[in-house]
Amino acid sequence: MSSVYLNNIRMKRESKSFIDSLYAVLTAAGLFEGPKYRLSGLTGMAFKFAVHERLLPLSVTAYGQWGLEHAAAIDNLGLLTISDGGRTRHLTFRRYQQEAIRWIKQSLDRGVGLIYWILEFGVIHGYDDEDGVFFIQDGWSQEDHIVLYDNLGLNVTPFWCVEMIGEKVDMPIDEQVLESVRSAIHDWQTPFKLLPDREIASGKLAYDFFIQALRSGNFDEAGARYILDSYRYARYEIRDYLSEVKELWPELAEAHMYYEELGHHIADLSFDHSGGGIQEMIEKLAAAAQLEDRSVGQFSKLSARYADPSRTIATRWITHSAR
Amino acid sequence: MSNTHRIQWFDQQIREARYPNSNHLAERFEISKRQAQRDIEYMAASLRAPLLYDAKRRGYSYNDSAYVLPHLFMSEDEKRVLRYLVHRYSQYDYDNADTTRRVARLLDRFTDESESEQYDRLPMFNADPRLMQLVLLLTEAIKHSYAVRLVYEGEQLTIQPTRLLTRYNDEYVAAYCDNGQEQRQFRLSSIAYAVMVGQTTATAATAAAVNPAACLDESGAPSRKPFTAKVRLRQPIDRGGTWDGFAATCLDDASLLYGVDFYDMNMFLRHLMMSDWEELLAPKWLREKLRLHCSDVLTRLDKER
Repeated sequence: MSSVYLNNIRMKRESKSFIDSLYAVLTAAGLFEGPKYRLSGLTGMAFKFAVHERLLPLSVTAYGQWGLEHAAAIDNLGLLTISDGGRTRHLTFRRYQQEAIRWIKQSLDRGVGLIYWILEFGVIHGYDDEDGVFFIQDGWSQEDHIVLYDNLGLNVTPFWCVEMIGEKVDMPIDEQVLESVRSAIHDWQTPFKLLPDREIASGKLAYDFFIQALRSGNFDEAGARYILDSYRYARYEIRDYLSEVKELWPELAEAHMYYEELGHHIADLSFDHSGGGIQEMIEKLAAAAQLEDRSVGQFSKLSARYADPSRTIATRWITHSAR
Repeated sequence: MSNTHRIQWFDQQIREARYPNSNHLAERFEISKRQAQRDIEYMAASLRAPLLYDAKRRGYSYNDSAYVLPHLFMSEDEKRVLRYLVHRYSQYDYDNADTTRRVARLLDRFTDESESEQYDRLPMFNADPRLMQLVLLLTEAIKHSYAVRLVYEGEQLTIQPTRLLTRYNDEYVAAYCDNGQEQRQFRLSSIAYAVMVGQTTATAATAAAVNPAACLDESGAPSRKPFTAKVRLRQPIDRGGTWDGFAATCLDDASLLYGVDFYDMNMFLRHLMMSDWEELLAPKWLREKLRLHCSDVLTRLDKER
């Protein structure tokens, strides 16, 4: 009967819930130093922007297949990550759950917290065998969520997800930055990341969805507010991130300028005032989309200057053959 | 209807592919074979069960596995769930809304009432317990025409709720505000605090009595298990009963030790603050939460002096 309670983990909701959780876990384990926007930028998570056609609040976390998105994001930091998840209705769920309980405890024994899907992401930072519970932070409340081992993975959504962080290797910063902007280009240019679902758009098309919904007036108000707040926070993160790395390449300096301007446009976007508010909001969002499009143009220019072996479409037998 | 339990058993046997026949039924319930045969006829004729006699297996099966026994077998709880679904579906306004409303009307016929009474106590779903508590409070207020004082997005208001609405993912309450005749809609998730005006009895106990039916999972996921607290009480509770709404099982008769199940921690903590008990033995985290809460209250009380 053992128990672990990692006191040094303190999650705070500011950015995307996944970044907030990752930041809390990594900083507590000494695997990342620096401000949150840097983490959000280097992982490319700040660039991810998805919008449901009715502006449902789920948009904020529906930026793709988590397994792919998060693995690539964390990989870019030079960190090992292993995740598990799936549908709770699957008959094998209980088996995976029991296995997950084992490795979650192992990670906590090592002193590293885990990222866990509550309804958005949170952090598992302790367990107690005697009561059979995990202690989980959601970043909003000071108090822990208590989750029975038997209830691990069960939430109001039909799926579960846990992400573990492992050891780190050093990666040159310019490689990380280059990869982060390449992931930004990919996010911006991919219209639907959750195909066959076409109700949630990503990147450039997400702006169109946002504007269309506002124009029609047929949208979820709470969701719209949440998407807007999250969107704005992410743009500020990108701005601050680019300001830090703009010395590396002139293209980044130009993109930073666009994001500076974008920041002014979206600073006072809000649903609080009625009347002409929505029309004004639509205009500002359209302007922001253009600025972001120009920034991504700069990113593409930069990306084209360097070889990108991980995304090349030229068939090379070494990378394509299992021999 | 005295044959209900027999028909339910027969139905279950068929579903388990045991191919029951009138002999089995007669044996199981110690009734005559004739009576058993009448039950089966009743199922086929009145309940429209698609019964198919399999001569090889000498028993019945269903021709159409989608068949379910009709509403006369529905318990009160199930009816309430259905009424809630009717309410949700009829307010649904997204894609396939027409179909959904048609389903709502269809379900409505099963609720066995000329018009669905929405403002009965609602069943609990796999939802935020706080929100459900709010729904209970508001339905109660609507039913008895009580005013409700609430804090909505930082604004303190007294409202006269008229009905509950559902749009997309959100629940709203439509109400008249105290400052005029204007009717407004308030999003439930933005209500920080609500209390009924003119009613003093706490509704905590009644709310607690509603099982947050985690077992009612529409997606087919495994049901959520409750936390269990070990509590030593001062007075015994009725056998198989509840401790003011929380399901309790006796662990030790002599020392009045009970295992009390609960789903929502805050609701149970509130209950512990209000009711009479001797000792809280487990779980540790609950003791810790209660201790923190109490010391917090004490600190505040001391500050007031």
